[in-house]
Amino acid sequence: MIAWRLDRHGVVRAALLLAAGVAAMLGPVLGDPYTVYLLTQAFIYAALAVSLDLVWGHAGILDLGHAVWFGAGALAVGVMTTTVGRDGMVVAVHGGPGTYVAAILLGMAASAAAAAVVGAYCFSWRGSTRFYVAIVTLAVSVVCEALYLEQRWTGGDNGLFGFQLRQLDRTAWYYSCLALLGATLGLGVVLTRSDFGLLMRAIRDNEARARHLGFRVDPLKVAILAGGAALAALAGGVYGAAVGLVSSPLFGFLFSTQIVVWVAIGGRGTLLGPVLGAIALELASSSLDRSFPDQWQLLVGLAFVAVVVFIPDGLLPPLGRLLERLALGGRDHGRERRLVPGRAAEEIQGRGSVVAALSEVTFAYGALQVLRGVSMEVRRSELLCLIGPNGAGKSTLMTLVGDGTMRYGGTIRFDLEGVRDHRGCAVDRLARQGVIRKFQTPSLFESLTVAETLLLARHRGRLPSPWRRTRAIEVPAAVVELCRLTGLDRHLNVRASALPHGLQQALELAATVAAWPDLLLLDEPTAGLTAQERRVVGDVLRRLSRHQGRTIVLIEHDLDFVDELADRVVVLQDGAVLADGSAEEIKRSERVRQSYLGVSTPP
Amino acid sequence: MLVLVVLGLGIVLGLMDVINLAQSGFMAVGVYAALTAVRHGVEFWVAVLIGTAASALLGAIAELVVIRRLYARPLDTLLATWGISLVVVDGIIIVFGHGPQAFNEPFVVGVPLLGVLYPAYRLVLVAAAVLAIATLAAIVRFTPWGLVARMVMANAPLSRSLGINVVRVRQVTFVIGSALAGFAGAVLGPIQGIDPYYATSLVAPAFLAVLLGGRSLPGLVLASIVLAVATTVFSRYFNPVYATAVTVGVAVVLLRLFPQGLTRWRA
Amino acid sequence: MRLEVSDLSAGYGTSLVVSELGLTVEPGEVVAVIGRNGMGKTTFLRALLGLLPRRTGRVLIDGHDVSAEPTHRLVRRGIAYAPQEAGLFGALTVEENLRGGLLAGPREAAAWHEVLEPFPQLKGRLRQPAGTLSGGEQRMLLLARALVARPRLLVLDEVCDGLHPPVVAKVVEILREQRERRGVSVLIVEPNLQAVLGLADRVLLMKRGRFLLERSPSAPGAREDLEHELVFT
Repeated sequence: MIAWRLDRHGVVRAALLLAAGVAAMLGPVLGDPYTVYLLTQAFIYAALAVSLDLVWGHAGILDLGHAVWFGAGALAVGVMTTTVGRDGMVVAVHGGPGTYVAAILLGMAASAAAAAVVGAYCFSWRGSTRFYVAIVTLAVSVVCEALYLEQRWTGGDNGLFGFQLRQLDRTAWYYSCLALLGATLGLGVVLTRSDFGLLMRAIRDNEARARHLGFRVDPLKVAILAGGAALAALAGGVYGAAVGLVSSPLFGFLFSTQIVVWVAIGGRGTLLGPVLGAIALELASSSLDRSFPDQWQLLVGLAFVAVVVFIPDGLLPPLGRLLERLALGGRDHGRERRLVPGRAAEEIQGRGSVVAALSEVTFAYGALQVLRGVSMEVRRSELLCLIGPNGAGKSTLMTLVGDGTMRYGGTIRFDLEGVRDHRGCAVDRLARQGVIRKFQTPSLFESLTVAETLLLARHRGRLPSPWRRTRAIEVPAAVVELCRLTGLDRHLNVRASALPHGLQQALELAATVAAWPDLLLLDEPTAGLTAQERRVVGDVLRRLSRHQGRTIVLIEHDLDFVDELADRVVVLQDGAVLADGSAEEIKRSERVRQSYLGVSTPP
Repeated sequence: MLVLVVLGLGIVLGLMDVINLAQSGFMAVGVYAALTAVRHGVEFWVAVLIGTAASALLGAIAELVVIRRLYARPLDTLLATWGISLVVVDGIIIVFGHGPQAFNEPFVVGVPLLGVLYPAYRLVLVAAAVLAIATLAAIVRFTPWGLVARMVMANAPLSRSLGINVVRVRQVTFVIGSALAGFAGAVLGPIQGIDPYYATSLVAPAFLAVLLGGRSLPGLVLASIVLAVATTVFSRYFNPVYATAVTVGVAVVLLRLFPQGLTRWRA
Repeated sequence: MRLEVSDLSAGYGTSLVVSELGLTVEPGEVVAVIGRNGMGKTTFLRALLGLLPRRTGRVLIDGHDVSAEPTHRLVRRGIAYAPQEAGLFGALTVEENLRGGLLAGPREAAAWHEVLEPFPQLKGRLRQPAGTLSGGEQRMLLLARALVARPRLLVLDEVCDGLHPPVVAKVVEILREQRERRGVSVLIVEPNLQAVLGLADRVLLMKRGRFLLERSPSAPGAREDLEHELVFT
């Protein structure tokens, strides 16, 4: 369930929110009509800022054309409630409250659909980068603003005007917009505090890793962008109904930039920051607009640049931390979670049968031939070590096995439940079927804690709940044991970026194991570890293989480690298999010895 | 005409991995500085030089205060440079107001070309653009400075280990890029309408041209030619606004087909 | 050039890959560092040159403390570095890569053509992009570029990796000649023990970021000691 832990932090936060809520409710009573009107607009903008924060601050998608979705929402209301005369000016306004509601919903649907198209276009190709979506959305915004002026049905130059819903008076609109903000903010809070929120931040922090844990990242990003667009259109529709105006600047890059400024200055990724940023900046600009409009804009622009360069997280987080330190002290229990061992895994059938077969695999990196015909088998539940000199192709081979979309020669076949033929299977598909690779250098989600990382890993690509916030995370017993042995269990609620290197490696391993793979690919799991740590890792791996039947392939340079653990050893040199046998056989092989001493051996 | 803008943008983007959206700001500074000089009785081409110098100065300041800190954060560079160009726009509004300014061509002479009287100034501009590209290409290709710049672009740590002061190189290329933008802005002034938002609408197409051109100078030229031709062609059949929209659409699609730029054929 | 390193530690993120390393290279001396992969040899060289921030440690060149100097200035004192990976500009031609090496030293054209003498394969390919050369030819180019600036200290990271024995012998000969004719000091990281034994005055074995063993190849039993440590533990 959504758990609200009431400790000191929680109580103070709740009290602050309550005070703010009460003050807001008393607005119309306390304030003059003009301020009330300003606040009404500010609430709408704040809701819009929340929608961008969800898309950009939380999921890392820089939508530089966010105003388009807002404008579309307002336009939907305008189009459905006005009639445009022959000269392009608004002639009549019609429609009851029902029409407005329908128009708002229509606007949301249209925006979401359009955003989905843009998103699908931007995210679904291999070379896509973060710049691409930023530039494309910026271009969309510029183009929409220009196109708006050319159409008659949009009102062209003049836009559409005068279609505000007159049944509601100023005070009613105030409360309606406050409700809009409350609802949007509430939705945002539930979503970002849920398990799904973790996934959003994971995609922002390290998209590649999320893919390697089995998540379908591209469709998710499209969905998030579309959802954000729908929320923006909702705000736009309410704007249309309240103010009764829509024109081309509402779609343009200046307004889009303004939304980005609110979120950046307020604090991206904090939800509350953008709300406060939007309200504060809007109020300030209205009051200063009368006296120093241009100077104010300049000041805001400079503040924006300064924030981006020097305080990239925005103003809210440091202020929040300062407040917390002054008022409270003590630890934040809001993020605490713990691990719970899950039921024991079923015994694996078919120990010793072939789980992966590579045949004459070749691979070239540009003009460089890295793999020249590798043929080997991996047998179920064995622990296979891949060794060989630098440049032999070990890492490349492992990367290749984990990613069927790379171009290679030869064949790779699996004997796993969901996948037989390796070719063409994307990284996330292979991961969902149980082929999981651990990276050589720790590649983690910076802002997620140890426990949160394990939670995501455990899902192995299944969608996490968008409202539930799991506190007791069920993981395989082996993972609990691994955390205990490595000392990770004392750092469950520490962010990954704050861990020392040895624990980061341990977390890498724990996350890979938590996904409970059928075929575990480990690239130098002991790199940079102390002797003690290496022993622990060795224990865990041996148990995983012997008692729990996982198949493990690992790349190692430490021959002692290999000697103790390996069921089988494959030696790779110059992109081909030099020797293949038990650890004993390899140790006694003269060819291997020569290879390590640097005498090149005949192929 | 896009070419000159693209050049400036291109140098910085291509050579430094910096996504520089501030170029429009530098163009505006160039033209407004030149305009002010002309209004004070300075001769046109000297005014253009003044505009170029003003942009270069601004570029140096921007590099020192902002860009240098953001090399490791490309998306933030995009935002910060966008912010800089908007700050420039705001500054111009404060000094010059919102309205358009008139900037007269230095000589209004028609040159008969293919049976049509073609304004001489535009021809001069075309010639200047060609000259600028050629000079730049020559510098980059044949001089030691060009080699150093290309090395820093390809691999900064390796360049450092060969004794190159990477920080200094980046600073200089950025300043040159902003100077070029200022020059382009000043020189295009008499042809375009000048208002505070002078170059901001050029940013998206110029950007796309740069991405489409990949990291090579010939690619950049090719891409901007392609886009300029597309715009002209579409303008003939459609409304100019639609033409821009279509051109942008074409650029976006082309970029998807050639993610490394037009000159590398492998997608 | 006399190079002294003391108490060098460095690593990535919060971990230490190499710690408390110290060595000295006298003018005209060849010092080799051997050890299996992943033991920190490349990290050591990079930290030495400042390409990787040093956690602790001092570097002295000819008695001057240069620990605080940025890499590009350090290198201009007469060091030429041939890295293990990404050592060439693939898109630039052979000639341009060579010219790139000249920036750190005297710009004498004569030096350049003289340097190409021992590398006939490169002579005919000056206009080819470096990325299209074979692995072996690229190593040759790396070495040529390192020599072009007439360095006083050569820092080489696995320059013999993947080369056929006759080519390795050629490299060894070139290095020996540099040492004899110009008194160049050499600090070479090389897993190929055979090559190293024929060239080095002293050999240090690195294991898990520390120097475990130091031997002179000419000393009795040195070779067996080194082989043993290298292969079996």
